Amino acid sequence: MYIILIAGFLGSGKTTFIRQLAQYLVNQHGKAVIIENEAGEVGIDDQFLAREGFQVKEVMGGCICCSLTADLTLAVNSIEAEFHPDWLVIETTGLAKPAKVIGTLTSYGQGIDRIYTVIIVDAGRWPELMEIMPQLISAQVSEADLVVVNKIDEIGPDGDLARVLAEIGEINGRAQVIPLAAAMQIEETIFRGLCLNARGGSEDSPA
Amino acid sequence: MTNAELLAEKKARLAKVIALEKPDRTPVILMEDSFCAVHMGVKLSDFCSSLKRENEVMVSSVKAMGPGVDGITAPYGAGNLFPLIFATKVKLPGKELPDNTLWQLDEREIMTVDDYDTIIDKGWGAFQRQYLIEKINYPFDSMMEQLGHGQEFINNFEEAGYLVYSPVVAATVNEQFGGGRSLPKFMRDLFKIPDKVEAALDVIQAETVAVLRQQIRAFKPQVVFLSPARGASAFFSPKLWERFVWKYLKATAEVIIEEGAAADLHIDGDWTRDLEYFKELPKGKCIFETDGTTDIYKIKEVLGDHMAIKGDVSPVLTSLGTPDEVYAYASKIVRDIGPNLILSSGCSLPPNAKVENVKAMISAVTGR
Repeated sequence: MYIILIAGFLGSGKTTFIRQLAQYLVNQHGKAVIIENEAGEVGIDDQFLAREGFQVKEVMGGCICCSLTADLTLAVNSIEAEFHPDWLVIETTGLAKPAKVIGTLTSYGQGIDRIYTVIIVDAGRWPELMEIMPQLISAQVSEADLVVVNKIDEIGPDGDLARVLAEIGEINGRAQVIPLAAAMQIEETIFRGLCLNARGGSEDSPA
Repeated sequence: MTNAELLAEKKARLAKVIALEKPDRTPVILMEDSFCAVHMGVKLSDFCSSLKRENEVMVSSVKAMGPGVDGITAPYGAGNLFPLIFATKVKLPGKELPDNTLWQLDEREIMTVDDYDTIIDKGWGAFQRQYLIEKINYPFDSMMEQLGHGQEFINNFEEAGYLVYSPVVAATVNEQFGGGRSLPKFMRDLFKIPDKVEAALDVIQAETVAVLRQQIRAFKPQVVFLSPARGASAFFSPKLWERFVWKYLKATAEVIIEEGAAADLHIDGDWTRDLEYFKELPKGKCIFETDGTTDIYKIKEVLGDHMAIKGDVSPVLTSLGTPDEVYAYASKIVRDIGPNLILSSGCSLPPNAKVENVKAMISAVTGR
């Protein structure tokens, strides 16, 4: 089972991205399950995804997220035992640092071949968020395999995409960086590349 | 030894740790609520039906863990009270959620930018009651009536020989907007209208602290739990953290100490960057309660000679680990953190914690 871990601050566009990624996985006939780990109104519309034929599991964690990683791991193990999916997409809470989730999944998760981390960044709010919460945003970006710089269509006249990309590159020079507008249709080649990288370059598996 | 003598011994033990003196052994305080329901075979929907029911189940659970436990953090569960702290709806088991699903903050923007002005003009108390009743449909008056039985709930533990660590619970005022506005909107407000946010927080702070003083005088607690849960350094730039978190956290802790109690600082998340600030609080009057995200060894290094430390057996270990793993970790921190440790879980014990793991944690102090 390959896990695509999607993280990014609240409102960055994780849901929109996941919807299209999920559709791609369905079109490629791979069994896919989604875990929603986000709280609040910006979470995934699980009804929508359920209508599309996905298994959606919601993980809740009381007040903040102190117990979420354990619950998430239990959910992953239960999904592996019940569905044996080829792909598992996990949306983490926007306040999470992926490293903690990955550490717990690596120690206690079952049936996991590989975990690939995608961080969604809101290009329009990048300067604002880097001023308000630089530590969290930097930590998230630094742990990414892929940084999706979303909402480039919403960058205002004073915005500077090149500067956003440069700053992301300074934080994490290892990750692939893709600017896009998830509100529009994301090109299939992007998801194909994502899945290829998530498998570690192997094309043997479904999707 | 009678239960009253046991209770006195436990209170004395806790007092020594807080004062940075050497106790006879490490105290064990269980921070738990939903776990108690699962432990006692009670559905979470039943558990949440009233504070009285929560108290009954929690007393039973603590008794079942045995006299090695010194006490419990609070005399009732947290779920029903979240709207009072976070100004947001909470989904409850048996209502919006299945019977055995843990309660969940239903965080969305309900409070508006205009509400900052209303709070500044009319005050927090009047706004809060109306807001909770009309916007969140919160059973405010019923909850106040139930909270009025707080002393009975405390007595139920104390008569059984267990202390209630923090009969009074407070939260830093930024939590009200982090929840009520929703965190993304609150963060945007800090960027766009910081002065207005601060003016509204100052109003809430003044009223909250006045109420807190009354509560401390009424209950005379040894410790007051103070939660700045969403105030972690990791969430704010240094400048904003100092202005919108530390300012209120420090002021509230000082009031608690001034009123004669110790301040339990419930530190969720990563606060490593700002540990030095905590030295500004009086020595031997606070407890740094970590959920494990801020490394307990780093806390000891920076604050070990300044305040007690509480924690931090993680929910991952208690729910996914084995008794041997839990025992090994708990024993390690008892040994390494030394006499200033209050052994506890990191944040609340999760409902899916294994009973044998909780017992293993306790046995790190009492022996296997």
